[in-house]
Amino acid sequence: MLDISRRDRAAQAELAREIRLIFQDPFGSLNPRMTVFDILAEPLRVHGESDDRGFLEARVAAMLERVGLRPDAMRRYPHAFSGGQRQRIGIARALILRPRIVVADEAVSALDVSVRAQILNLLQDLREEMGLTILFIGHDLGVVRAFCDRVAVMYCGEVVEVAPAEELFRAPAHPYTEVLLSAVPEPDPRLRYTRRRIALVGEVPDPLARPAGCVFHPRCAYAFDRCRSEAPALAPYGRNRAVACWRRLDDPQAEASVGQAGRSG
Amino acid sequence: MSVEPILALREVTMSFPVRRGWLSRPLLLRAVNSVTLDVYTGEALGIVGEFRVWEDHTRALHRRRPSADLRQDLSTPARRRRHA
Repeated sequence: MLDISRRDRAAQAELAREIRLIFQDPFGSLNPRMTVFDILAEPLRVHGESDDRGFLEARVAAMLERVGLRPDAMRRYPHAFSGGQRQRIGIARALILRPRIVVADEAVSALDVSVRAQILNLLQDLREEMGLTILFIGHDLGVVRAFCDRVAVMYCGEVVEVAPAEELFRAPAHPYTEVLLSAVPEPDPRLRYTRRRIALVGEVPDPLARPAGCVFHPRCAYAFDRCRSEAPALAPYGRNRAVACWRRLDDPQAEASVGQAGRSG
Repeated sequence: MSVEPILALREVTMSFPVRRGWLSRPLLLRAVNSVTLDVYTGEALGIVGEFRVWEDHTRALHRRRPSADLRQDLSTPARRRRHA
């Protein structure tokens, strides 16, 4: 058990080893002056695995193969690769230390749609092979639905709903989730106009002047008195979901334990 | 998927002092407000929302020092130095 709030060097170094990041921009996140070998060997060196060239080359070659690149790619510079290939290099860099947790920050949003699926499949395969836990930060809800087991919906810095992906998409419990889902484009033109699209009025509240009560109430179509005065905490809803919404917490389906999880004040 | 969380966030708050206009008192911008969330071993957890700023801060937490208690956080010397 590691306390991630500890700031001493040893704890931070161990965290940096166990939790790795995949970045959004495959162009900005690779140093153009470093060869792929240097990019991938750097984490191994920094974390003291080895300084032996032969050992490092073997590790880098193996990692490159795992992400679907040829080992001789290590001699080249990032400019020689396409966006999708660069993202593979970024993934290799994140995984070469065999982390337990990977934070994929919009890892596919900068890629062409045709390449996106390949990279997602690669991530899915590597996740199974290496037993990774992935925090997938994304805006493309279609991608999130396809890739994630569970989804946490955040609004104004707060988690407003957590649910298994399929359940969340089938029956959103929080009004904000409902709005988000209604904004997902429908690929089938015949269905396009059969769905209701909810347009939100106003802006995300200024975090310096949070609204009293529920953060979403000024834009919520269902808000009632309690929402304006009292903030709902994230509380269990149904069997394996949680939602911060008075409408749901008053619902008999919700197993009451309001105030258990969530905000302290 | 096991039932053991690999990552357990408890009332994690990330805040920044910001000034509006010179001379004004710094206000606390709570970019992440008391997030409590368990991440289970082997799962892929999606985080979605409207503005990426908020998510960014949640993600940046493992690099910065998160705190459950805001006041305690602000009285920590390391933190004061960073914003000085």
